[in-house]
Amino acid sequence: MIFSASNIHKQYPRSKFELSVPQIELSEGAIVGVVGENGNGKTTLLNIIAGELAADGDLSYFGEPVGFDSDWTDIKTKIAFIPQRIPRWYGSLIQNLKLKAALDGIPPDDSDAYLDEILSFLGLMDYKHLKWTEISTGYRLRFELARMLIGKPNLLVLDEPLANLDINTQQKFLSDLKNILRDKSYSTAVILSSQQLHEIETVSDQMIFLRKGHSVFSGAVNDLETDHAQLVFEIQVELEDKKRLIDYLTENGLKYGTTGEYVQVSVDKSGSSNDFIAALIKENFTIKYYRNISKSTKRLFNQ
Amino acid sequence: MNLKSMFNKVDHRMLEKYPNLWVLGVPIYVPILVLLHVIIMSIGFIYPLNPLPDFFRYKDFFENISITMILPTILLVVIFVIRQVKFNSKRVHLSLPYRYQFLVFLYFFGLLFGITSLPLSGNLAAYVKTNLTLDKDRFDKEHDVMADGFTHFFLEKSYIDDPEDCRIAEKQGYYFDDYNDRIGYTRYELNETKDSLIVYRHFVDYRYGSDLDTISLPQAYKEIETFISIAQRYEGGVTETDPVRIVEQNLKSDRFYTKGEKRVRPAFDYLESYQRFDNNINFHNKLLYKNSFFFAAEWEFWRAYAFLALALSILLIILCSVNIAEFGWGMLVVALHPTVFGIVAALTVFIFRDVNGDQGPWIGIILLSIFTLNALFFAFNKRFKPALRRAFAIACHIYLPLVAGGFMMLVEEVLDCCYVDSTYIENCDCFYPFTQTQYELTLMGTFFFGSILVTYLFGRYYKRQYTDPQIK
Repeated sequence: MIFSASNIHKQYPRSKFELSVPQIELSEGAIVGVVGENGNGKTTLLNIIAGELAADGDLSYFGEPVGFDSDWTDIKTKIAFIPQRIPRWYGSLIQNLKLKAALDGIPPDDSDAYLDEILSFLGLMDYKHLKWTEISTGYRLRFELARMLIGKPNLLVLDEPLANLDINTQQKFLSDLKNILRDKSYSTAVILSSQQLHEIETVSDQMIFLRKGHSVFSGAVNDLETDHAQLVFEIQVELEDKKRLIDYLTENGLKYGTTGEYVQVSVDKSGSSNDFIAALIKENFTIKYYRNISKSTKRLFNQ
Repeated sequence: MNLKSMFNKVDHRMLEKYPNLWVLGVPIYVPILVLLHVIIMSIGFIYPLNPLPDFFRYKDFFENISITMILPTILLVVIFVIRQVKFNSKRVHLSLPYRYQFLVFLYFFGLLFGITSLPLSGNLAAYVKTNLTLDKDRFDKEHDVMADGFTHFFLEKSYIDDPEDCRIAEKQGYYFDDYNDRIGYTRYELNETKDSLIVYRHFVDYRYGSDLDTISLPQAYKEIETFISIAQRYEGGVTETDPVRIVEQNLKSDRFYTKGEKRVRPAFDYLESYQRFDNNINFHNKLLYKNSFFFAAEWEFWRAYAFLALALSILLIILCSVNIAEFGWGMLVVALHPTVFGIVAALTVFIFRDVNGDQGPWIGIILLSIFTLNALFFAFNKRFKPALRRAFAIACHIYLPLVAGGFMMLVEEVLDCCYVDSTYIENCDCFYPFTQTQYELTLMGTFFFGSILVTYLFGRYYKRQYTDPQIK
């Protein structure tokens, strides 16, 4: 087990915000996504896991419980933490990577080949001689990831890595992560937070949903459907039809919630997605967007 | 292979093999610094210090080199600090481990000492050279001969403030001062038998004492001639060369002068430029006796000068060890905490203004203890926010060596004893078992080694603060 914690508790007396997570386990090769609305404790939780923030609870890194005499310098050499704001690099990108490699004890003769392997893996070979200011935000994140991977960390903690990335770069970054974990030379676990639910759920083995600092859900996304008695669909119709749709749902006794132009509808598990869409089409609704969020943490946002 | 590619190769190799040195800028700064020292030392060494005269111009020359080098030195220090903050600081290189922190501090100290000593290396090289060329024995010999002859070429006026006293004194040839001591102001006159001169011996430098002397007239003429022949080598050209006329005129000039005549010329002066002659002789003294001008060759100078590099390196290691915002807060505490302490101290002094003066050091010790304990309390009490604790820790890092020295001085005042080498032992009730020099050295040592020790200890504190999880 790379990281495990039980009864994580953190309270900020002034804001009265309280984070409470009963259990987290990160095993080798696992990706865990942390989601929740802004200000619900995602960054706090990641900071605790990365060893930046002290909290109550029983934490254990790499099989060793954390105590008063724990050597955090040693623990942190095995943790790679990429915060929301990545500090600027000075000098050329390759110089920084070489410095990290040398500090991590990669022999000088092997350094070039080792770095080229990581850079090729992340598709960064063409940019290695550039400077920090000459690359985009997405590349900065990937270079930061490359730097973190040099020391082959056992635990990768990423706070909102997808923020500020376009959709293609997001997907590329997540596929990089998946590839890293498939590579047997990295015995790494990843925990990351994001607002990009669909993307993060696609790659994560487990999800943690935080609401007001409390862990509302923790487990595989598929468990969301089995844990709940109803299916949840998210739909968007033409704006002028929204009121008619709500009237329709009310008439049929269906539970619903709205977020902007989107309507989340709960239907009984005995029904199906196809039946529901067919019913709407029959009622002459023009469906602009539809998604089954029964197996997504998205359904938890409106509860 | 050109110079640039050669440098790149060395730089690259250093980066791969010695990353901890590379990140400190060793491959850039050490060669640059060595090169600059070599250049400036060469200037000092090449500059012609021989032949005589005009030595005082060298003083100007080396002073100008030092002054000219001040700006480049400041520039180098600033560039070095920026480089370290960019590449070596915790906040920009989160991946940079907190390793070898104390060695990094020693490197900062060494390099900053090298940079700040740049303006003085020319002076040092020139000193090394002087040992090869200057003839100390010859100067000593000529100095004494000139000092004898000088008697006849320059004399300041003697003053009696009250004009009436002056008139009486002139008439009598002496007067009684406020303590009823008989003061004879004769400084250049014939004796009673008119065959010898009573002269006042003095010279432009401290090495020659002043006293009355009696010499024969032929001896006086000889002294004058010798002075004329030698002094010109020391920019001591004269306006009158006839010994007989010189003596005659001098005898007329020797009288009492009133205060109103003070700003007029000296009693007599036959030098083309007293100032240049004075400069020249004194420069020789300084040159030959390592006094003042060649301060770069003096251990005492470097002992004090090292504090500049020490202070800079302490600030830099703190800057590289903590968050930049916290460094700012730390500096604020450094400024405000003693200010508050100063106000409290002033109020205390005001309240206890009627208390016996002997209590002053005790009050100082109590206040300084409170001040120090307060700062330590904030720095180490876990109930405070880490950022606040670190700000006070930064302040403590800077204060503690100074406070240690402050305590030493206050305790010395409380005991109020004499040093073992004191010259006024009749007033001493007790003696310290050390000399004043030993005390001053201990004080300096406390500042210096205290700073180094405190830097080591607080280095560990910062490491814990930034690696261990914090309560934020």
